[in-house]
Amino acid sequence: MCLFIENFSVGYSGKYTLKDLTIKFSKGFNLIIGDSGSGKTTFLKALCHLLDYKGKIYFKDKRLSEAWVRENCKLMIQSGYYTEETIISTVKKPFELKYNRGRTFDEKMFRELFSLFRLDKFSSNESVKRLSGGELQRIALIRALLLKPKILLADEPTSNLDNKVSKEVYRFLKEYCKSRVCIIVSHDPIAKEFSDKLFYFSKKGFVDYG
Amino acid sequence: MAKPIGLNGLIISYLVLTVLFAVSYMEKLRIEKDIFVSYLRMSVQLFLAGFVLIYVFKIDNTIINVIIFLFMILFASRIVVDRSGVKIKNATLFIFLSIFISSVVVLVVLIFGIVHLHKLNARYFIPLAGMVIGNSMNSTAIGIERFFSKIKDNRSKIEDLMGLGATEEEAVSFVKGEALKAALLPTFASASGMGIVFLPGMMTGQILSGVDPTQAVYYQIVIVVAIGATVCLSNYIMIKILSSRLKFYLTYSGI
Repeated sequence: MCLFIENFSVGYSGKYTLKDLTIKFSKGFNLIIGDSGSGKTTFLKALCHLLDYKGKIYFKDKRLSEAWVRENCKLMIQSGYYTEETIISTVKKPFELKYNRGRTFDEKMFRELFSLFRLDKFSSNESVKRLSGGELQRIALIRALLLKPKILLADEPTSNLDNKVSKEVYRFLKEYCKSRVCIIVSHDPIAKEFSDKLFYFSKKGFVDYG
Repeated sequence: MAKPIGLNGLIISYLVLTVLFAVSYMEKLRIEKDIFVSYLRMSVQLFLAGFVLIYVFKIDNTIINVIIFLFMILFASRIVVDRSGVKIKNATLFIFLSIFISSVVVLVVLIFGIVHLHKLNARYFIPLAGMVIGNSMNSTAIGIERFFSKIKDNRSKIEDLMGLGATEEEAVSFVKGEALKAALLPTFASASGMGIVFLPGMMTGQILSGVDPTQAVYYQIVIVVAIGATVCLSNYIMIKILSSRLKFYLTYSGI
């Protein structure tokens, strides 16, 4: 199982941030690090079809359609999450979307992650307004994980978390990613300890395999 | 028949404009030039419209009527783009299509179903189309501006939903409602004030020109409902088209 990206170019308003990128991601925890402004976030957004791009993407040697990506590739963005009134309604929101209708909400997994990521001081019916930035970030991560996508993308998933919780998150991700392709962008040194493969994005737009 | 106003009446009316110039001068608003240009434009445009309408009513050719109708929508679409300040590709085309589809649907019902005409009689078609298109123009300008400013304010939330699998339409659904409401509210507010707060222009015009007030009221109700339907439909179609191109705007329009 691998994700192959060929001649991939993307950018805003006609200016390319990444140009003619060819890169392969295997099953497991792929960590992307690199300079700020090198296009890591733009890369994840384009992979998830939030932006238009040029190039081809293959998964298990099959060219990906937009519908396939919407259904099977999920992205956790860095900040500014969409929320509903309560924690539980926020976490359940994606299951109302057209491309997630075949999925069922895994209550047991939700409880486990809620406790593992140290959110159990809250009731699931708590208003999201009471959450701090770091707590909301963990809710956003749980929300993406519960969808159990074939490809998981996450942009700085632990940027607002302390080392203890970060470690729990990456330990969990290491296991979770054994059965799927995960591409995680992170500057957190803890992430390196748990990653299977490291990629480096430089400002010039090319990729080094570390 | 209405009592004719005559040239003297028109000159006195223009003299009333000195109030505007006086306020602008005393309060140092420096908008004297704008006032002059606006009222000059209004006068020239109306004289021209009156002049053209004399011939259009006399010829009363369906093809010419339809061409005038298309020109009116094209002009309205250009004004919406200019007024809303939205800089997106093909904006004029999308607004044109939205106003065109909605006004055709409503005008067909109005002209053939309610007024019971057998052809597009210029004397009815042009003024009715003008009212419907004019109101759509005002509301789509609000609708498109609000839609894009809300997308700008909520970009990360929209991206968050798309990242979780939302279609472009699902991702903007919480923004769509607000833009639609903002576009429709002035039309409803104006409808609810009619008859008590003010007498609408068309009804006033008809009564002044000697039409039985009951008939004037009937016409006014029909046109207000038609305007409401067109305004609603044109904004709905426009936002539907724009929503389906969200990814393109996120990538290329600097939102």
